[in-house]
Amino acid sequence: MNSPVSNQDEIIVPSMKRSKGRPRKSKRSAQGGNRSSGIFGVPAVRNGLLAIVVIVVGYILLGKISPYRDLQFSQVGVYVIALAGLSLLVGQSGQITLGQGAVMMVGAYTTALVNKHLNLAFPLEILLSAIVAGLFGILVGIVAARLRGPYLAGVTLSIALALPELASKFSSIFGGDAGLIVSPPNTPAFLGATYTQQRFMVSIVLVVTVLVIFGLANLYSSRQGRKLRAVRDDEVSAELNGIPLAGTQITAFMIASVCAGIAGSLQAMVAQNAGPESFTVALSISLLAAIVIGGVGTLGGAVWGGLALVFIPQFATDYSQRLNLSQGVVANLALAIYGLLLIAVILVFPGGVQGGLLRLAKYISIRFRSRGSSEIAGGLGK
Amino acid sequence: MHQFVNLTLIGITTGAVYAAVAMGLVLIWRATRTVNFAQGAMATFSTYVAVTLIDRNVSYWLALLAAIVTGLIIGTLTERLLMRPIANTNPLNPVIIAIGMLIVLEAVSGMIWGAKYREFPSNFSVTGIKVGTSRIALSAFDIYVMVAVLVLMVALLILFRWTSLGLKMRAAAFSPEIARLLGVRVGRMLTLGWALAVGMASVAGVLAAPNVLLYPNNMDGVNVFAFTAAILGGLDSPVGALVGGLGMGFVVSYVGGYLGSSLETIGGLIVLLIVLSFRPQGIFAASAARRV
Amino acid sequence: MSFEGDLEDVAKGGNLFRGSSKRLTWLKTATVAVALSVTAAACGSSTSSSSSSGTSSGSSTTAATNQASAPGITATSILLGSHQPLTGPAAPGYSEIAPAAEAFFKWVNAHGGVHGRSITLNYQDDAYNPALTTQVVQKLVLQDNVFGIVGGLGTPTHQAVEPFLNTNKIPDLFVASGCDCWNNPSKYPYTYGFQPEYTIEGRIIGKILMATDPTAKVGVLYQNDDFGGGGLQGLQQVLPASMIVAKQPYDPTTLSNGLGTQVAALQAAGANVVVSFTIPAATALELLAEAQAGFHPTMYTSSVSADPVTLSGLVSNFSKGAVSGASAISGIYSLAYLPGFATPNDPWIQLFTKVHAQYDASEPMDGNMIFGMALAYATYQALNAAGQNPTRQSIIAALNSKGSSFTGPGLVPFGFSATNHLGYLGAQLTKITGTLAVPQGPIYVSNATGPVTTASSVETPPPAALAG
Repeated sequence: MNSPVSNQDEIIVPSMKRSKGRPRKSKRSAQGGNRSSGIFGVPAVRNGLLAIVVIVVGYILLGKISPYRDLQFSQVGVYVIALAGLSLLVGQSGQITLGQGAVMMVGAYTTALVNKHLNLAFPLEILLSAIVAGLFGILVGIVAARLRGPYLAGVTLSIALALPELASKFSSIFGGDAGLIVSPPNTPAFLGATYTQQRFMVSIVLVVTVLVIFGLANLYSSRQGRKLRAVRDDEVSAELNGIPLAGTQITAFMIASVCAGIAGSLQAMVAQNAGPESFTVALSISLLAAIVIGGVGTLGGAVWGGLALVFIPQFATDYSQRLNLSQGVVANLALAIYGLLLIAVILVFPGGVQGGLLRLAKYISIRFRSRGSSEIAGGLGK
Repeated sequence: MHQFVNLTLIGITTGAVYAAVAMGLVLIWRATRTVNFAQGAMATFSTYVAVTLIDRNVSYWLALLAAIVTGLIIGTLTERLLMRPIANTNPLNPVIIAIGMLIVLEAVSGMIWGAKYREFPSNFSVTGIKVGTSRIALSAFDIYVMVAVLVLMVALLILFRWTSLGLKMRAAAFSPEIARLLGVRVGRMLTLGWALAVGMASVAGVLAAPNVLLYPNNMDGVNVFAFTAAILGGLDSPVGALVGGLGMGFVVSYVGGYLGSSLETIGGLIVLLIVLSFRPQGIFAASAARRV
Repeated sequence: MSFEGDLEDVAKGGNLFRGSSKRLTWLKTATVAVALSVTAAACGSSTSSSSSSGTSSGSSTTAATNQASAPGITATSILLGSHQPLTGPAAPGYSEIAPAAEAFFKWVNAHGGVHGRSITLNYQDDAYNPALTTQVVQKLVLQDNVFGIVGGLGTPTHQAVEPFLNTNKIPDLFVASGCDCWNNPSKYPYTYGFQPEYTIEGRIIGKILMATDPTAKVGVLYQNDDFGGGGLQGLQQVLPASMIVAKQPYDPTTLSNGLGTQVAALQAAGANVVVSFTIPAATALELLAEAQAGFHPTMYTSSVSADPVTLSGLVSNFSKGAVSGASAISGIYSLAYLPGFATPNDPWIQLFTKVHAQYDASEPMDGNMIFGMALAYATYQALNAAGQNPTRQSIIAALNSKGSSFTGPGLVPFGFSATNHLGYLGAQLTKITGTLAVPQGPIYVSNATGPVTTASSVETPPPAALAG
C-alpha cells in the first residue's frame, strides 16, 4: 500500500527479484528473457539501432502529413518526453508527483529567457532547460525524499499551484500572465522554401523524443534502474542491501525533471510562447492520468499516453461537432467523452494500454506455443 | 486591528468550508485509501440540483436535503460501479477514475446548467454584523456555515468513536481481511464511506456556493485547498481535517490580506512544507511508523 | 474599380494554386499575396472612393462575379475562425460572445450576406489554455482553411498565436481583449484590437476622478494580469501617487476564496473610492465582501466589470432582508463604449434584440451578447470594405485605409490605420440606476499615449440592408 504502484507491472519490467543478490552482473541479469546473442544482445546497441530506425521511418512518415498534423505530432512528442520521465518516477521509483507540468514550466521559461536574452542555438536552449529543470528536480526530490503517497502528491500539487503564480508575480522577468514570446528555431535555408516551419519543428521533436526514450531505455536496464525498482518494491530491504534511499529517490526526481525540462523547452518552441496559463495544475493532473492509462513504469506507456492526450480530445471534439448541437454543448460533450474514455480505459485495462497489450501478446504467445510454434512466441511474448 | 479581526473571521469562514471538503477526503481515504479528486465536482453537481429546486420554489432546507441525497447517490454509484472493479489493481487507478469523474461531472454540469456564473441564494443575511459603530466581516450566514460544519464534524466523530457502525467502518478500512473474518460486510462499509464522504462534500458545496458563486468549476480551487488541508492535518484524522481546514483558511486570509493575494498559494506551500518536514504524515498522523 | 480588378487577378492566382498540392496551398497563396500586397496597398490609398462608413450593402455590387478569391472564401461563402473559452473557469459569461456573433452573422446571411456570400463562424474551445489555443488556431488555419480569425478571446491565449497568424499573413481581426499588445502594426500587421485598451480605460477613470473628486482616497482592486495591470497603469498615469491609498490584486484562479481579504485591506487603508478592474464575477464577490464588512465606497469599474444584467443576476442575494436586488449595484460608475439597455430606443439595441430573439434566444440577452454582435458587425464592415472578392491582403488594406471611419454601434471611433491598430478609442461614463447603466456626461477619447479629451458620440444607425 505504500507505493502507488502494485506488483502487477512485473510482467512489464524485469522483476527486481530476478536481479537481487547479484547486482554486479548488471547487463545480463536485467535482460531476463533475452534470447539473442552477439552484439545485438547488448541492450544499448539494440536500442540504438532501434532508435535510428524509428527516427528514419518517423521522418519519412512525417513528410507525408499536413502542417497541422505536424503540429499535433510535435505536441505528442512533447507529452511523450514528459510522460517518459513521469513513468520512470512513478512506475520505477514508486513516487507520485502532481508537479510534472510545473517542471515543464521551468523548462519552458528557461528556453524563453535564453531565447530572449542570449543568442544561442536551439540545441543549447534545450540543454540549458534540461539542466535548470534537473536542478529544480533535485530540490523537489530533497523535499520529497521524506514524503510518501498522498503527502508527496499534496506537496507537488502545491508546487504546481504556486509556480504559475510566481510567474505572474514577477512579471518584469517572466512577462506576467501573458508569458514570454519564444521565436522558434529557424528553418535552415537549404531545406528549401516549401519546407514548413511545422515540419522542421516536428523533426526536431522526433529526434529529441527518440534520444530521450533511448536514454531512458538504457537507464531502465542499468544498475541505477534496478536501484530504483528495489526502493520501490521494498524500502527496508533495499536499504539493507546498501542502496541509499534518499539518494536514489532524489535521482529519480532529477531524471523525471530533466525530461520535463526538455519537454517544456520543446513546448515553448512549438507553441512559440511560455506562459503560466499553459502550465496549470490541470496539465500536471492530465499528465498523471495519461501515464496511468498508457501504462505506468513503461516507455510504451508514455507513447500511448502522449497519443491519448492529443488525439482523444481531438476525436471527442470532432465527434461532438458532427452532432449538430450548439457549440457550448459540443465543447462540454467533448470534455465528457474524454473523461468517460479515461474511465473506460482504466476499467478495461487496469494495467494501462501497454499492460493490456503485453498481456494480450502473452496470451497469444501461450496459445501459439501450445500449438508448437514457439519461435513466434519468443518474439512476441517477452 | 479591525482588519486583523476581519481577516481572522474570513479565515474561519473559508476554513470551515475547506474543513468540510477535507473531511470528505479523509472519509474516502480511510475507507478505500484513495484521494478523491472529483470531490469538488461532485459537490458542484449536488449544488446545482439544490439550486434547480430552489428556482422551483422548494425551500432551502429541502433543497439542502436533496443535495445531500444526490451526494449519497453519487458516492454510492462511484464506489459500486467504478471503484470496486479496480480495487486490487494499481493504486493509482482509482485516482485516475476520480479525475475522469471530475472531467465528466464538470462537463455534464456545463451541458445541463450552462457555462455561466449564477448566484446561490443563502438562507441567512450575508451582511456583516454590527459591533459598536462598525460592521465586522461576519454575517448571520457565516455563523450558519460555521455551526453547520461543526455539527457535521461532531456527528461524524460520534459515528466513528461511539457507534458499532463506525467501528465496523474503521475495521473495514484498516484491515479488510480481519474485518471480514469477524463478519463485517466490508464492501458495504466501503460504499457507505464513499456515500457519506460525497454527501458531506455536497453540504460543503451548498455552504460555499453563496460566497463563491455557482459555476461548473466553482469548487476546483476549494478542492485543491481542501486537499492541502487534509494533508496538513493528516489524511487519517477527521480532527486533522478540521484543524488543517481552519489552518489553511487562516494562511490564505492573512497572506492574502497582508502580503497580497498572489502569494496565497505560495504561503500555503510554505506552511505545508514546514509542517510536513516535522510531521511527514500530517499533524495528526496516527503514528510515524512506516509500513513495511 | 481598378482596385477590385487587381484583386480579382490575385484571386485567380490563388485559385490556380489551390488546385495544386493542397498541403502547400496556404504557403503559396500567402507568397503571392505578399507580392501583390504592395500593389493592393498602393491602390487602396488612391481609390478609397467607396462608402466611407464601409456599410455598402452586398446587393449593390453585382456587376462583377464572385470568385473563390482567398482561402476560406468561395463564390458563395466566407469561413471565419475563432478561439473561445467554452469550458473551464473562463467560460462563464465569455462563452456567450461567439454564439452572439454567430447569430449576427446568420442575420447578415438572411439579409443578403456580404457581396452575396454567407458568413460561417467556426469557433473552437480553447478552455483559456494557450497551449490549446495554439492547437485549435493552427487547425482552423492549416486544416479548415479559414479566411481569418475574428474575436479570438483572451490575452494569454491570443498572444500565443499572434506570431503564428502574422507569420502566415492571416487576418487576425478584433481580438477580444484590451491588451496593448494588439496595437503593434510594424511587427504584427495582421492583428487588430477591438475593445478600448485597458490603459485607456484606466486613464479615463483617472481623468474623471481628478475632475470630480480630486481629494478622494482611491483604493484599487485589480485582476493580476494584463487586464487589471493595464487598468492600474493607466490610472496611475493620471492620478498623483498620493491619491492611491491601496492597490489590491486578486488571482482569477483563486476567486473561490472570495475577495474578503482584499476588501478588508482596502477598507483598512481608508479608501473612500474604489476603482475595480475586475471581471463581473469578481465585482459581485467584491460587492459581497463590502456588504459583509459594512464598507460602502464610491465604486468605479472598467467596461469589462459591470455589465448590469450579469451583475444584478449575481448579487440579488446580497441585500437579503434589506432592499430589492438591484440596489446592491445601484450607484456603481462604469465605462461603456457600446449602447446598453438604458437606451431601449437605440436602433442597435433594437436590432440586436431582434437578432437575439431570432437566433440566440436560449439565454437572456446581456452585455456580452451586445459585445459579440458589435464585433460581428465590425467584421461585416471590414469584409464589405475588402472588395467584392476579398483577399487576406485586401481586408488589411481596407481596414488600414477605411477602418477609422467605420461607424455603427460604437459610441467612439476605431483607431485603425496603417500605423495604429487600436480598437475603440475611448468610452463614456455610466452610472447604474436600478439595473440599467445610464450614460453620464461626455464621451472620452484617447489614443494609446495621448491625452484624454472629450468628444461626442459617433454612433450611426444600422445600414438599411440589415434592417427589418
